[in-house]
Amino acid sequence: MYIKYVAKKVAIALVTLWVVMTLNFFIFRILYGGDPTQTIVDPRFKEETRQALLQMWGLDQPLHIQYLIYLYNLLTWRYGNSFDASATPIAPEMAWRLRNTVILLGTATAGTISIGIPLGILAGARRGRKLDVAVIGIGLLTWGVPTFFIQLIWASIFCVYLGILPRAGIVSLPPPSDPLELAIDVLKHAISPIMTLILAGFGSWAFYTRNLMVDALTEDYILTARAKGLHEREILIRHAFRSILPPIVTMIALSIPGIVTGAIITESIFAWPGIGQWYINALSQMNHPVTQAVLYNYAVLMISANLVTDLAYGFLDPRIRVGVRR
Amino acid sequence: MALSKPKREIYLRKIKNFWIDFSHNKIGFAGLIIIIFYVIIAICAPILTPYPPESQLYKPPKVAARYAYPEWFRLFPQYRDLNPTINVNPDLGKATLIEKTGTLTIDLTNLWFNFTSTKRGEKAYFTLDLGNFTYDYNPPPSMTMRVYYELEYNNASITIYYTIKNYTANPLYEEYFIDPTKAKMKINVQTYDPRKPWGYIRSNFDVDSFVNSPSFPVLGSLFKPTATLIDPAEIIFSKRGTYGIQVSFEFTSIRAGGYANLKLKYVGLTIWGRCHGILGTNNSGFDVWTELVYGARISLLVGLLAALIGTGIGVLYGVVSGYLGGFVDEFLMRVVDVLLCIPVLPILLVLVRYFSANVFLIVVLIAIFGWQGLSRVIRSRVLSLKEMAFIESARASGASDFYLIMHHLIPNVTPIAIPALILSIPGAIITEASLSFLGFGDPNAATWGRILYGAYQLGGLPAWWVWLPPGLAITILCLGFVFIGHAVDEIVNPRLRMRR
Repeated sequence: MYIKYVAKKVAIALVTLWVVMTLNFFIFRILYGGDPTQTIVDPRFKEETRQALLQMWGLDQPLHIQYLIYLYNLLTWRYGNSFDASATPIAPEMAWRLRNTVILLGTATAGTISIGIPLGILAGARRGRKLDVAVIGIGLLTWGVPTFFIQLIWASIFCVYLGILPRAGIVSLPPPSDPLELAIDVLKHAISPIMTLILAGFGSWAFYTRNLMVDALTEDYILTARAKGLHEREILIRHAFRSILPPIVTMIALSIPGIVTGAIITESIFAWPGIGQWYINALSQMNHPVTQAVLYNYAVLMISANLVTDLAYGFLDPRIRVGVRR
Repeated sequence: MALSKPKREIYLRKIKNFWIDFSHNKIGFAGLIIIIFYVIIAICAPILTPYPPESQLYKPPKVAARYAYPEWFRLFPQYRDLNPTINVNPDLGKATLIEKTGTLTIDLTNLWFNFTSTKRGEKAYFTLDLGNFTYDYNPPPSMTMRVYYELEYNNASITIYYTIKNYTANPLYEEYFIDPTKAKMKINVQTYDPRKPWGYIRSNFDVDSFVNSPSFPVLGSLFKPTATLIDPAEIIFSKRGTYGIQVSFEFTSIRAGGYANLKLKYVGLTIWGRCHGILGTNNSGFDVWTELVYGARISLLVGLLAALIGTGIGVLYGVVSGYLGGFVDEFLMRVVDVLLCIPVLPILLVLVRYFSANVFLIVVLIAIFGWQGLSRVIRSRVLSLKEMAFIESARASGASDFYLIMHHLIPNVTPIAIPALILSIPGAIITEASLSFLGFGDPNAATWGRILYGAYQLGGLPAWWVWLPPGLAITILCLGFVFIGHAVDEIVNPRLRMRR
């Protein structure tokens, strides 16, 4: 039964990937128009040069061939060359930028969850007490505060007013040669974006977990566990928290779009050289292959994250594992 | 849809009961007050500020220097002597002639100046003194000199000098200016063009002082070469005291018989304020309060419209999917799965860039990408509603699908839809603000995101008084809707009340 569930989820993921890729192709090749030699490079190019460039970008082929080449390119992580005079290949830059983004988002998300969920469990366990009220307050507040506002406040306090953290980039220029110093330098640059993302995110996690805990703690099996004389900590972790894991996993899936969204703004505020900053730049320079490549990577990130959480959900929720209809 | 009388009474009673519950919910009531406050601000925007907001067609007047402090900063001792914007408008009728060389005919009452040359290269020069004014603040950040005139010329050119005379001993004048009693600036040279040796110009001539004046040829003549990167205004008004304005014209004939007729219309000086209004100024020296007040309109509009459209789509989609069931349901839900995986903000950025940003387009796009979660919830509710007895009996008595959906299913999912509607408003507001913040917003709409964009893109981060209010405005407005949404959720879904 679980195999069937997995197969279905994988099929949906693949279809989604194909839809996004097709959309990606049509938006840029058809809506925006596909000939960069007319608009982006120099309009006064010689005809031979223009043809050579078109050939290099693969734009001299008929549209359906272009589409197939495009699909093949993306699936093999090649992306082609960027639409500018130098026509640099995109793949190498994508590799290190993607690494930067994944480092940023990974750390921030891990931090957010590992602060938010325990806080929520504690608040749920001490319903109505000070911590609980604080968690509700922070949770509601987080809903209303734009992440970039928190980041502006952070940057103006720590990077401008106090001047103790660097304002932009991932490493000082020139980078320190000593590996230890280099690591400290990168860490210093990473503090601002990661801390602001955690600040902006942990409240809603705590709030959500807290609500689930409160619901779970009113269930009959908790009463049974208490009646058995189990230790309160054991009730919280083994009984209450175990039962709210599936919705938490769903929540992780649902929060991925927000995290990806946040990355674009975060990266452009702190000039973090990830794919989000690249995306904004490419979009304003009409550098379509770069935009397409980044969009594709976002889609892959989101789809795979969704898939993993779906699979984990299926694994965690015994009703799905043994095949009872929900 | 006209309601029969008893039905209307039922609805009225329901609304009344709801209101009683709501008004006892402290958080919800606080949210309502917040929203009412914002609505009042949005409606009264034209009363609260004298200027319309900036758009592509309308550039609001510059009111002070860029990133000026708010006026109320002057309550604090260290900011007490910040200068407001000062307009010096000397009365030209009282101008006195203090210098005159060359063949000039001068009519001071009508401000006519006539120059006629007899030989090539002849020069004439005159200076008018326009009286004094006192300057009693800290050094100003910048200034604009204005000389408006009409000129009829034939084979002659003019040069305009603007002089600010210093009547108090000021060491900076000795350091920076050639003459320690005055700052004499060559602000305009009306050069001779051999292809057009005669003509008529009417000139409204404004010259801004620049921070980098030493490299700016017109004002550069004022400085000794040692001058650093300080705005000339800061040096000229570096001490409190009495200052005078003088304006000089120099005529040069290019050929024998060349002449010039000058009619002086207006001479003035604007000393740009380092503080202005309630919230200071933005990067271009415009009033931030205006942008903030009008921003309430856009945010409310975007939030409400996008949430309404999005919730409408979500409810219809969910109801149809759940009601029809079977293959259609499966297909529609898989479409939702696909849509939920689409990276929304990146796609929004692409589409907004392509279809030139416009508030209504942004609203529609936000709505289109914002209903998928709700439609899932609605669908599962409809699945359970469908099995209930009242639907069965309605169907048995011959109700059509359309009737069932409109009269039974949609009213029964409203307890889910209305809180979801209210709670989706903050998301829409924040998404729009994010677009504007990244510089992809509607250039014709005064949005809070645009102020924040200016603050972060154009070096305004230290000017916290500019970006903090719009950020807080977004936060508080969103919180208002979150509060109301939670209160409504608790009232219509009583199970949630147990959580408190």
